[in-house]
Amino acid sequence: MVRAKKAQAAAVAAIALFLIFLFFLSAFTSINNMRLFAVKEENYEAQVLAMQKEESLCVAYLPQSSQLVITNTGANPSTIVAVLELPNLRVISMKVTVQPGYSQQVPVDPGYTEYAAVTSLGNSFANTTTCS
Amino acid sequence: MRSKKGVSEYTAVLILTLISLAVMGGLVAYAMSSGSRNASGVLQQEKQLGFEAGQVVKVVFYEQENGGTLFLIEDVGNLPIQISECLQGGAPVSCTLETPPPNSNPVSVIEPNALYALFVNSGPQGVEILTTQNVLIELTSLYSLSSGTPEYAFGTQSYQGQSYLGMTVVAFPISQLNDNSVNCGSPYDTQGYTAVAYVYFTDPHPTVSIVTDDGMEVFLEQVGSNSWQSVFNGQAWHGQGATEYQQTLNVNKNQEYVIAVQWFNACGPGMSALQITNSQLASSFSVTAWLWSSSSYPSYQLVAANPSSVPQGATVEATGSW
Repeated sequence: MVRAKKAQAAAVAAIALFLIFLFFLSAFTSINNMRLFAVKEENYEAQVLAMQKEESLCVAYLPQSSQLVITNTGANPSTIVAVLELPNLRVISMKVTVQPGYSQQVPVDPGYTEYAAVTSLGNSFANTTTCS
Repeated sequence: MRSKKGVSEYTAVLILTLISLAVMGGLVAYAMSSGSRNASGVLQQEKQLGFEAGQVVKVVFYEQENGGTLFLIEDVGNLPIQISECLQGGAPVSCTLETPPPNSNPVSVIEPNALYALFVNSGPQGVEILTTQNVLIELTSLYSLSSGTPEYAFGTQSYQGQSYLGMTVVAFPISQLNDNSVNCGSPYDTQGYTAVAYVYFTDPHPTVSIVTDDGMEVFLEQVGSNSWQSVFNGQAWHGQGATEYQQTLNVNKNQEYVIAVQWFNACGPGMSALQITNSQLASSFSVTAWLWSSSSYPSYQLVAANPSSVPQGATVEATGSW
């Protein structure tokens, strides 16, 4: 009788210990996964902020052909996600990647006083930008 | 006797097990909790950090229209954003999210690397969006098409490369202002510019700093007030080498002001630097370069009479913006 109760107690204790082990394992895994998620997002944000500062485009408008000539004067490839036509805001969405040192021509609507190329990093370069 | 000891061990193990399970349950509840105790659990804290880093909004353009402000925004982070509320100064304001003009279709989620039009029923300053992940994103500190904060340092060749107000002096964007030769010969001895822009202040006591060779003055007018305020009261309006002046303002926070800068260079090298703290431009500076035909320079009274215009009697040389 006593031996049976001891065995019962040992079994309950073993189950409890196993459950505690499982809990800590799953808690550790969850926290680790969430930490990896946070670190990944923080790294991405830091990279975006650093690249934002380095990004440089020269935008020129060719009235004869209603084209915007976008030249990447920076060190990294730039992805143009939209062109703004101003005033009376009108947005032309696109996805065009311009390699450093290369130009890309983009058709725009004629008759606007200002055009600006918006990149995937959130920078906007107006056609009045002076190339340096 | 032996039987009694066995029961006692059994009870102790049971109590230990119950305590362990209770602690475990508590820990699970703590780690997984959200809602009113946001970010209190370890998991929630990490999750919050991830969303704060992954939901990054940049304002690429904004304009005031129909009693509100249209922000053109882009999520430059890695995660989509769903707006739960728009705020101005911490108070809720109504807002609508659409695809950008000309289509303007209502949407609910901001996907990364695409532009969206957010119309907020308020002025452009102090606007924040609260995402469904409880991330608060301020929009106004990220303006880019407007010229950011009102600060610049321009000068003729001998000043270029020097540092004033923490800025390096570069050539005037309006090339005529860099031409020293026009400054010292007949018929023009004095050259200057009138620059006008719209600005908001994020603090009621911003500081205006200028460095000038020769004279400079900054004027402010709250939009609609019809009343100009001189920042330096003419103290900097005279012939001099590069000299720094500083003044603290009393302004209304988050109200739109017109800022007018007058500057002249009476013969020889010249430079003009401006820096205003706790402020945000709502437009670029619209600039007119002018020439003054007499041997002296326009009087302070003359420029103060109409701060946003070229001094009466001056000849317009060029126009541009910076």
